Amino acid sequence: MWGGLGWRTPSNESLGAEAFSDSPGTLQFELADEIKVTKIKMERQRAVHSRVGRLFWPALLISCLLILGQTNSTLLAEDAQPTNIRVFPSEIRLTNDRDRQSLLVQAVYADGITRDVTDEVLLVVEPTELARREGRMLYPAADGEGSLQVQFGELQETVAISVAGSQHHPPISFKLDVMPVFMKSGCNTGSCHGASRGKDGFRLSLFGFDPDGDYHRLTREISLRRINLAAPEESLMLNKATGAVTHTGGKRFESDSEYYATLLEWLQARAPADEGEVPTVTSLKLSPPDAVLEGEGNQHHVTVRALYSDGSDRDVTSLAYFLSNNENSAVIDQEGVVTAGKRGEAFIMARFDTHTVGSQFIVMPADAEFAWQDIPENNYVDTLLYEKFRKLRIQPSDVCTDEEFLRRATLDIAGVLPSPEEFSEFMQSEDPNKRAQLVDRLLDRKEFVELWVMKWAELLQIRSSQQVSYKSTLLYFNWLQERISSNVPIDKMVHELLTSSGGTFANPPTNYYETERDVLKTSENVAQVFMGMRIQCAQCHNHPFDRWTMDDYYSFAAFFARVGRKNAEDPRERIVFSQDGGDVNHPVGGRVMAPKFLGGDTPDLEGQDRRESVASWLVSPDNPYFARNLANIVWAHFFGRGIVHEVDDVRVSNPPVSVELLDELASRMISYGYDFKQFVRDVCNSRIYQLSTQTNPTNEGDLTNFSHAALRRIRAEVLLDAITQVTDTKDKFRGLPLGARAVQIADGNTATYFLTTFGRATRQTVCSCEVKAEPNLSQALHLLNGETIQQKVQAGNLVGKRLEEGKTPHEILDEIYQRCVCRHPTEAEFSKLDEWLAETDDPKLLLEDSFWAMLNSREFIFNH
Amino acid sequence: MRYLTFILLVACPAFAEDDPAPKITFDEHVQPILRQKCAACHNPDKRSGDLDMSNYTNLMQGGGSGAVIEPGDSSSSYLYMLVTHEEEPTMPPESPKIADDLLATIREWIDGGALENASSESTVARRKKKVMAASSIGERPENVALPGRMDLEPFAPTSSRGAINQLATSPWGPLAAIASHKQVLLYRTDTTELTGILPFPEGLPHALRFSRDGALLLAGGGQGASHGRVVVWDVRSGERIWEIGDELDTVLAADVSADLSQISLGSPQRVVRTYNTETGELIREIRKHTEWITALAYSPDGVLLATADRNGGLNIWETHTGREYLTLGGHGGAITGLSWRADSNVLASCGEDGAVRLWEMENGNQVKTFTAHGGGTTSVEFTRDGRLVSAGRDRTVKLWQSDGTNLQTFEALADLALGVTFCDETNRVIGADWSGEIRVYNAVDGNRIAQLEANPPTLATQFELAQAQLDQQLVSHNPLQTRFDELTNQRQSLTDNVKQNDTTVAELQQQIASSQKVVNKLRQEIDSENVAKTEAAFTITSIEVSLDDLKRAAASARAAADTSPEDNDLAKVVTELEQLVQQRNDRMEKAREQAGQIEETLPEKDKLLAGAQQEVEQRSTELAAATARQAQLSTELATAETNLTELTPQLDTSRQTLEQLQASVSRWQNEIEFSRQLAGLRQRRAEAQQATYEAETTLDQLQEDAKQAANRLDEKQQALDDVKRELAALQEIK
Repeated sequence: MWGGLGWRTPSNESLGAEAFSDSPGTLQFELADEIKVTKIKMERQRAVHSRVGRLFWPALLISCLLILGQTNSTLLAEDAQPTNIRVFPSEIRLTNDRDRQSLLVQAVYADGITRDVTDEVLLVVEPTELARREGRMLYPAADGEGSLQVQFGELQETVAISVAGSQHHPPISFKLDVMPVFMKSGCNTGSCHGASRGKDGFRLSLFGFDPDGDYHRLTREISLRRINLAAPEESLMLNKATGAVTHTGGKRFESDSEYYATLLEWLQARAPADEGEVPTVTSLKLSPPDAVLEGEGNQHHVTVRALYSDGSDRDVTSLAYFLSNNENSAVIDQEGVVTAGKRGEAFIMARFDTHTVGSQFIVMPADAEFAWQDIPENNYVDTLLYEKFRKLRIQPSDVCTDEEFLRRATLDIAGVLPSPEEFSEFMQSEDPNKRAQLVDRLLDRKEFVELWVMKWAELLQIRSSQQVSYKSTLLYFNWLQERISSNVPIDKMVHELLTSSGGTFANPPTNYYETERDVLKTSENVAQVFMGMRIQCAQCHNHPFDRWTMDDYYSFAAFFARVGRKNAEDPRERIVFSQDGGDVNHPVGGRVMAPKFLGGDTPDLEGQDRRESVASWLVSPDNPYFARNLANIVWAHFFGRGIVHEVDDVRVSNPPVSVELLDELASRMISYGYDFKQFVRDVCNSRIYQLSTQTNPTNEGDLTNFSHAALRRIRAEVLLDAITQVTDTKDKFRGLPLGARAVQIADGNTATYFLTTFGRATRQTVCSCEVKAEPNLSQALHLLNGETIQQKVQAGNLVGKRLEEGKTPHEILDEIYQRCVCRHPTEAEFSKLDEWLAETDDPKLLLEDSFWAMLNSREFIFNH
Repeated sequence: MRYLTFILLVACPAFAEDDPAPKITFDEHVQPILRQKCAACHNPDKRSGDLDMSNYTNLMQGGGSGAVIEPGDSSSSYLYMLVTHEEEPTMPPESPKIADDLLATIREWIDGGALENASSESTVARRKKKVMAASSIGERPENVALPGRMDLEPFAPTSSRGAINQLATSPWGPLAAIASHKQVLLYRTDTTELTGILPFPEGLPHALRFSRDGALLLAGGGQGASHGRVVVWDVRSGERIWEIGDELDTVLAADVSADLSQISLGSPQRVVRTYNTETGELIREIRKHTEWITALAYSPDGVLLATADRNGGLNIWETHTGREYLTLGGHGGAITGLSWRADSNVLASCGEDGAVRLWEMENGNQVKTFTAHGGGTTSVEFTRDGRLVSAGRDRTVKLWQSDGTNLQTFEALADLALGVTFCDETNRVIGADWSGEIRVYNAVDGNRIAQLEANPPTLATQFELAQAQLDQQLVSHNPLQTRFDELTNQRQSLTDNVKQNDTTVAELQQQIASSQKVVNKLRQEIDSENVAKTEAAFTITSIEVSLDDLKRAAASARAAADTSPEDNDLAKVVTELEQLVQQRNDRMEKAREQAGQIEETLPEKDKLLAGAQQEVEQRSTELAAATARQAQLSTELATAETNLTELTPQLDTSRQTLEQLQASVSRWQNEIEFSRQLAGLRQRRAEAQQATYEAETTLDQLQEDAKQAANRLDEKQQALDDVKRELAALQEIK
């Protein structure tokens, strides 16, 4: 019986594999316990019915309409006039005979759809001798000023053209012309010659952070191998790149390509180094800034224009490296042509020099019929996201049930499960504001504070180690707890933390500088934790997918170069202080770097504590990242996914789901004075937070826009606490009294097998990836076969106690359901129980098996 | 230096009071440093690397890798090389280098003999290793191989010159080989003239070596990531004699053994392959290197083979067994060059760590290390007498004493100096750089002697160039010549004029003289006639005065005589008187007549005189003019002479140039013709070879056919015999 009940139905496979797919909506249906079999069948039927019920008629209608609609839309496509056309670039400047400019004309239609009509427009250069046009490209012909007239249907736009130096043939520059070829051809990527030890004996600096070094290595490191001045076309670098000789990296470009021509011309000029100041790229512009493509296969060109420090500009479309963050929806080839794929959105990026810029491309099916159905807006969160949904033609899911909301909100806000009493109370309440009231109640619980103390302890890496004594750790944790429970605004707390000086016992926040003593790592951690940015890449090379250069990195690190440390009387204590000396040198060339805020100014710090300066800047509104980062961290806690995802991976190439929403949340955060409770209230009261996990046809493919609730495995500490809670048992952790909750553990070093298996943060790094929420096989096996559940079910003896109290099996099952999954069992579940009750003479064992099965169910270990 | 100080101190009592230079000792100076920096691991308990540095005795004993201190020579002391991070593993591990002043103390301590304490005596003099002088320089061959007349048509002419990094000189002749794009250039080191071009269509030669007797030249190279091989030429004829190896990347290093029996080569494929030169077969492979093989060299005595790689790995092998003999650790970066001293006892290696290291071959000790070029040493070569030349990334070429004393730093090249070689025959150093510039220096005074061309133009171009130069020269030469001719003509005509003028003057003078004579004569005549006239008049007058009286006396006498006829005396007197009268009368008459005559001729004469005088005057005027002209002509002539004197050297120079150019033009014509003939001959030879080959093939075929035919005949015969036997058997049965 026991075996029949438990072993036939291991849900490990589905837990391990399918749950990983994060597929929304149907968790309940797939609970695999035999107890649930009937329920599953029923639910499935219901689902099918409801689906048919809900969709059949509209679907029929739609398909009817489609026949009409298709003709209509074709007609429309031909007849429809765009509302306006956009011409890129907005002005054309050609400054030498190598110069050129690609054109892009985008037609914008009333329904938001855009189309690349460059090949269909009438283009007239006035005066005609000014420039020569080949396809989309304009080449200089004669010096002068003029205009380009663009006509599409009845719409007309004019763009100014200026041509100067049409007879001027500038020499090929290594930095401006040759280096971009390496970048574009992928020569200096980390998997090729950009690797720290190079590839097959030849190294280039990763993404070209060290052009002078690259010049040296290419021309003089091994003279006579890579280039051949006597016969430039026989140079190994050309032979390799064109695949004329064996090349591990294969053919990078053709010998009749522009890249080849550039390199050859440079070699023919005897591979000169650049002399004097070489202009640097100051900004990069990707056009169009946004586009909505209709229909799979639809194509849209992009153009990239770089502005240089000497005021010149250049069409770098052919030299920019293109990528898409969602190739499923839109792919971009290296010519800069975007091809629409499946419905969705993609951030199309162009990288050139140290700059990465992106444009948002939304892809709609060609025959999409969509009508936004008005739904209530609880607050600004809804308003802002609905805008996005409309653009994406997504109808968000319905609101979740009260049961779901109760469990979801209690787990998210307080990190515990609602008790059967709370369940009954909430379910019986008829107050229309009962959800908001619940949120308020939960926010006032101490568990809310404990949950956030734990989260901050993770971010601050509170963990005893060889460097940080256990006593320090506890003091540090207590300090954090004290600060958060007394509702000290986070900006004040962070400022205090970063500027702290003194003994690690006397002034616990100084432990921040003991946990990580390395100057560079400290600055990386500050950026990652408080600004959500991973600037580590820039330690060794310019960040490939963000704006940060090595200069930025080392200038920022300079703020933390003057943290002094000495021993205190107690050998476990250390004293942290600001010292007068200490600098950070740039690894290429060894320059001393002046402190500079990330993306900000270079402050005058004569005689000041550098940490004071950086801490003040960090939490000030001048810093665009701090409040956004906090808002995003909180958001991610409630949705399992940040508006920027991962929360500590803010970068140009990882755009937020909604810039508007993130900005608004950040400004609210600031205006609330960093009051978490108020902020959480906004989030939890939004309709978005309260959406069901059930999807509809418009949002079933959406995994990022919060148009339906996501299934989230409950994090390790909370899960253990929940199991403990529902089984009425107590845990004992180091340094805490019996019955304390896992959430309260102060030291990242303390863990149990359960916590480790379920991915408790070890707090060894600041990475958000420390907390592992991915289900895996060992978790499933631990739940099934490990001691935790079986032991706790036995130890808590809930079933036994209830039987002794004279409760019927139905009542007991009901309580188990309420405790674990916050609902009553279904009729089918009851009747299955009855079936088995009839077969057994040991109802206690049967009920405990049921309890055990429930704890193993995905409905239990997921928040939904 | 310390001795010097000592002498000074003795010599100058005034300074004798001062402390002598303090001795750096282990106990006082070095131990505190080592205690602080090293003793955490190298102590009697832990003994990392089996080395205890806590006390002098144990430190001097050394550790697992042998002695770590070489008293008197810090650069040969392992410890010092490690703490200065010149060698791996750098010490202290994973820490910054020890402060410079502390390192200086350690260095001074070692160089000062590594004394234990103030009372220790230096044992350096006894122990210091020296780079012993080379004991042999090899044997000069009887006939030094020098190229015969060779085709000077470049095999792979390029408009632009490439970097040059491989240079080699014949050990016995004034001949240098230079690796260029797809060819090897042979230059005479004495005349610095191009003397031959050896085609290397395989690609770029990365290794270049003469055989020990200088009769063969080896080049290894190819095309990167594509193919590589080694080629050996006969230096005299320029004919290819061996083609060895088949690498999948270019050959980077190659050498031929002293007995010419084997060739080793290495490439980015990291394997050293040794081939039999006679059969071309692979003898063995050395797979010990973990990086590109960058250099290899056989010892001149043929016993050892040194191979080096891009990771600083350096190994010595026995030539004929392939057994490993020594592993020489030391270089901190890629090794770029190897060179054996002529006696095979010392090997020099150089690398990107900038160092030139000298290794003795008994135990493989580093006998000397010196940083030859900051930023990297690219090439090193021993001279026959044991000096060294090196080239490096600091753009210079240097000449060294074997103890690391810099003898000469030659004028810097335009870019990274990549290759260097020393010509023992002419005492010249040739260096080449990244930009393809090749310079010849005099090793004695360091002066630059010449520049060699890395990419000689084609013969046709040379010819055109020479022709163009000739034409160009003619353009400037012709006006010079014309001017010279003009001036010469002018001088001639002036000289003629002067001569003519001189004649005129002489004639005039003569004329004047003769006219003057006439004048004088006339004057004389006139004067004498005037005298005569006067005399006659006087005579007349005097006669006239006495004549009447006489007449009267005669008449009176006559009368008297008539009166006295008998008076004879009287008669006589009368006669006499009468006669006298007559006489007087006659005389008077005569005088009168004479006077009359004179009266008659005198005007004539006066007229003549006037004419003659006029003549004289006119001639005199003419003479003056002529004289003036003479002066002028002299000046002109002098000018003309000066001009000519000035022009002559110009013209001579120009003419010389012209002649040279003409020679050059004809030389290139000649070379072209030679090249053409040579090509023709080669073609014919190739054809002949082909024909021979075909004939041989045909012959083989025919022989094969014949054999087969014979076989078939045998078979048929056999069959016939069988049939016959059968028949016989059948008949027997019958």
